[in-house]
Amino acid sequence: MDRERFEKLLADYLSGELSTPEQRELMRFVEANPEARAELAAYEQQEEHLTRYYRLKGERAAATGPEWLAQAQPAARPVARPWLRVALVAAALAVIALGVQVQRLYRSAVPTGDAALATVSSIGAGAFVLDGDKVTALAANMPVRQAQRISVPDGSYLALTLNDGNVVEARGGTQFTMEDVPDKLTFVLNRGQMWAHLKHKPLPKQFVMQTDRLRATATGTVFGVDDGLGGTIVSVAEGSVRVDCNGMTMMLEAGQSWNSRTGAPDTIPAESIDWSRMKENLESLAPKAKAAAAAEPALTIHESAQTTPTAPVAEIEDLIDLLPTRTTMFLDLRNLSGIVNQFNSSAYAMLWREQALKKWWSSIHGTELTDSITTQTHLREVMSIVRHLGGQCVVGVDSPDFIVLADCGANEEETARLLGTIVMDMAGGKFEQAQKIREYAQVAAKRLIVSSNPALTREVITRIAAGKGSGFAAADFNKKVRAAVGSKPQLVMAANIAPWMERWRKQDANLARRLDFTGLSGLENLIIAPGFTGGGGNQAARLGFVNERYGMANWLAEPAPMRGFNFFTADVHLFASAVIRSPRTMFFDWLNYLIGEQTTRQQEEARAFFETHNALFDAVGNEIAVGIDNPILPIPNVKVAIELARPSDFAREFDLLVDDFVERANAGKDVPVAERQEKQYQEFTIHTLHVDSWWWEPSWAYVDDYVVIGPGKTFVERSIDTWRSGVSIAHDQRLLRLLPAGASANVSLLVYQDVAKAIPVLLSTKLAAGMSAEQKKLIPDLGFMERFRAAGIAYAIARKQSIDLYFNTPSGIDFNLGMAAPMVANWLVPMGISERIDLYAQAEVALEDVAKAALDFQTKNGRLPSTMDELVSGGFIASKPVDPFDKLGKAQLKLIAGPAQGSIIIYSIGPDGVDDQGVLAADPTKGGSEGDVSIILPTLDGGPPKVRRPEGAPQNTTQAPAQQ
Amino acid sequence: MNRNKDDLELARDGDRDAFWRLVAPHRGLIFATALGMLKDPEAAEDLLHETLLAAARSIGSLREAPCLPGWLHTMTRNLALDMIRRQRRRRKVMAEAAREARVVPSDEWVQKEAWLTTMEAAIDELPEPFRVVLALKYMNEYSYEQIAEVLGISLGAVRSRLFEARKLLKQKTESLAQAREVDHHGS
Repeated sequence: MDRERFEKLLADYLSGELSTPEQRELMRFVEANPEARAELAAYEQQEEHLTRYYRLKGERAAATGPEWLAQAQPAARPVARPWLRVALVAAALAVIALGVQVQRLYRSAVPTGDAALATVSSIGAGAFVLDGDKVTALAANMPVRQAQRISVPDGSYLALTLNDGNVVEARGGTQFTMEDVPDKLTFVLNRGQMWAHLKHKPLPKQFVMQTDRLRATATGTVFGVDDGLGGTIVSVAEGSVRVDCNGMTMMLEAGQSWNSRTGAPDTIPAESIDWSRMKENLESLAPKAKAAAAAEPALTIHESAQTTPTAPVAEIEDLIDLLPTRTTMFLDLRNLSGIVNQFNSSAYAMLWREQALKKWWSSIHGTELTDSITTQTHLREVMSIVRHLGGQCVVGVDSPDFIVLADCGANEEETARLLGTIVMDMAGGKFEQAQKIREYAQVAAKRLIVSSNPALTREVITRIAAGKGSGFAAADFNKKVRAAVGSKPQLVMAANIAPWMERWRKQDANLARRLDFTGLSGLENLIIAPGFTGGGGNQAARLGFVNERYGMANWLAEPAPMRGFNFFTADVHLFASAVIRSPRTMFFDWLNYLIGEQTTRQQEEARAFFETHNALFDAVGNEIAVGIDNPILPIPNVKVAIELARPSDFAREFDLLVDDFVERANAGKDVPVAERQEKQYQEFTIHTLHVDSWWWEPSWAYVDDYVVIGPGKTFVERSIDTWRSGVSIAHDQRLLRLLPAGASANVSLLVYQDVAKAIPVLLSTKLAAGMSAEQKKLIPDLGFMERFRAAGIAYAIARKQSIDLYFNTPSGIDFNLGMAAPMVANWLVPMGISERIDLYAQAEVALEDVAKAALDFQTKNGRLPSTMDELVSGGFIASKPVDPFDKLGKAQLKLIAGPAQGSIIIYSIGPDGVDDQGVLAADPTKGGSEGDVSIILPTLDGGPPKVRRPEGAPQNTTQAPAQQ
Repeated sequence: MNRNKDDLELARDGDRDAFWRLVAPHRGLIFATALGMLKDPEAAEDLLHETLLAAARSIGSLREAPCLPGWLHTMTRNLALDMIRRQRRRRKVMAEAAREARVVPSDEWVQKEAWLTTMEAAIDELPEPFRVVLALKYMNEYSYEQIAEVLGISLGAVRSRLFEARKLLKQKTESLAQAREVDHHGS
């Protein structure tokens, strides 16, 4: 490939306008040419910068609203009455005069944007004023003004002296702005930590530190606010501070700290104080902080490091004991209000406040949907009831029935009132109907009882009255759950699965085969006990088996050290590694399952294959690792590292397999289409299988008792480099911090991901590439995910009769929602498409009805109708049909003269909403497609009337609803 | 029913909402063109407002709605040229002052953001047609066809102009990064 061709392909590739064959051509060239590869990488990085740069700039355009037009446009409609115009002008002048006066008064009281609110008294490595894309360095004695965004870089320090002589310190990594109004000075903390030393009294105005989660107000004290993903912590060293958070108000005294995430008192780590240059003021907090630092365990999550339980509440066991003995699933929410509070300060709640998401949700009319659901489900009232509950709640399920039992505590009356409001609303204000609903939901003996079956409600009320439980608390199921969770976490969800499995196995032989293969038929219970510690996900689940594991569930071996990491760089986006009990058994199980429904001959062939390559499977070791380095490359960048028990045996058997494949591929061909290649890289041999029709080349090498497989030679080379350099993901702090023992991966299964950065790119390159502008609108701007970016892991520890699963990620958002975002987008896009196709189908049916009426008209009158009115007045159709594509639902289908003498066109304006007089035919598969949906009569072939499609468009895309 | 046509008629009659429905989708185009010519986002924003006002005043002269993007592009160009002529002297003084106020921080945290400064400086040095085509492509996410339509040039010209812009930008960012490296070590 010459330079000119390379540049042409590169240009189109960067613009996303390259065809698949051209893409292959480019990638082959790049693969073989290191210089071109480097050039491509540099351009790709530049693309990222350009996109980011212009996105920043473009925000200004999007923010411009129609208010600007007011300056230019004359009044939209001339005012018919001159006296009214005079009156309006007079009123406007009066308002303006009043406004000017008010503004003057306000300005005299409020500092202008230029007034200095503080001066820099001390500065560490640097601090900056961020103004759009302009960065200005702060220096000692420089003024800090109203609304300036101040950033103190990591490792730096900043102290400001306020105009009243008090001092505020900011730690490195802090961002804030100051807002000054007549009675209040507010520090709005975006992130980081600040200490206020308000010792010069009296303060001229209220002093407030505010974060997204809370507001701390002081009038003469020493206090600090630390805002991060894990919540906001307010600590008071001297005096007292009022904290407002989630509708609650509390006073903190000297020596106390409070955490918005846990909604509970807290201690602050020693390093939260050490950075302060006025730490003598903070002495009351120092001993606690140091003691807390000394006692803090090294690991963040493990079975032994479960969430600290809240204080046990005696009545929760009583509530559990009211559940029917036949309960197969239950939810124990022993601290419901605490969980709600924690959730409100978690990263999930922060996500909900994201402007980009709000904007997107509103753009797809989600706000109306949310409002409608909230109203229909009485969510506001339900949440109000939740806030009034005593904090304990149990949900029991005995399929298909369920029951919710909650302790109303001291709020019995208020709960009853709120429930009454919901019931009356549901009953439409009819008393009799309300009485019926009350059989399902009522408040009795300080308990809220809601069930799907009135008999169940009555059963529980009788038990409460008799003061006697059902005995469920002492049942085997509940006992096993209690033993498994050990302590008493705030939330337990448990399901007794064994009876379901038994039922399902009996119902369906095919399902039974699948359940046996997976080993799920041996499941006894599923227990989930998540903790909200760590700001997001720190969740654990246990799959408990009746006896020892079998089938797929038995593939995982007990924990063992994993070394497959060594072949993957820290840039890996997704990585999974498993320790397999016996690869031979695994392959055999899989094969047996696959051929289960095949013919006897196919089964024999498959078994023969397995027997022939028996030695290959026997040569495989215990670990299999898979990683995706960069999902935005146009080739599948998936690498696999398999541990080998007997590397030489594996190499020999694998060679035989590949040779056999090459021989078969080339059989009967004049020119070979497949060949094996070998290349020396350092002391290793990289083997490659080249097949003409494939645009990737499976390559592999044997390194350190592992076979490393990649989609091209370069990928294997990189793996060797990574392994040799020792700078792999195995040594990356992001992973090490998340691992159970804080150091090594000694588990049965581990999934690591760091995809937040890739998701917006994936959406814009892979998913959005083939979409129309209309479909693209359905994809949210996920750029903000970068701020939630945090690597996360899921790992499993397999034991004889159970598999325990753990999830650990700092924010929880990245792991849980990051993985789900592409799927959600994938789900939303077809929704948009289907809506359009539905409209198309409606138009098609309506047009065909009119066409049939027109043909009837022709039979009777000897000519086609010239207007739609003729069809209505002649009784051939009841009324003029509405055009489904008219968004207002007012416009009607049209009937006009056609291109040939005596012909007519009946048409709808089509998806683009533009009247093309029925000449252009719209394509139903394309969003916002140009053209109309039309029928021309008489038909050219004399057949029944059909909607016209553009050339090349599929002819049977839609299915008319009327025919369904 | 042709909504664009109706909106145009309504806009000619002085209906602000109809006018806004017509022009709002093209704010990005106006801003991209303005930014490509003026280099300064704040000035581009001013020009966006000025163009919208001018368009509102002279909407009566627009014959057909489909001509709107080209009409707005031409109007933005003309107004930008006026603005450049008007403010050349003042802008020069302001730009110098702004450049002096701008800091190239050595701190590690700020280094991460250094690309933005580099990008801005490099883009500012590109010839105007290159800046316009980059802005249309990356800010508005226009396809080759859309750019060709707005600028009135061929598809081939769009492709080559875009690639030449990228190539030149790459050279400029690399040389700026090298210069910074030298400065950094030198100091």
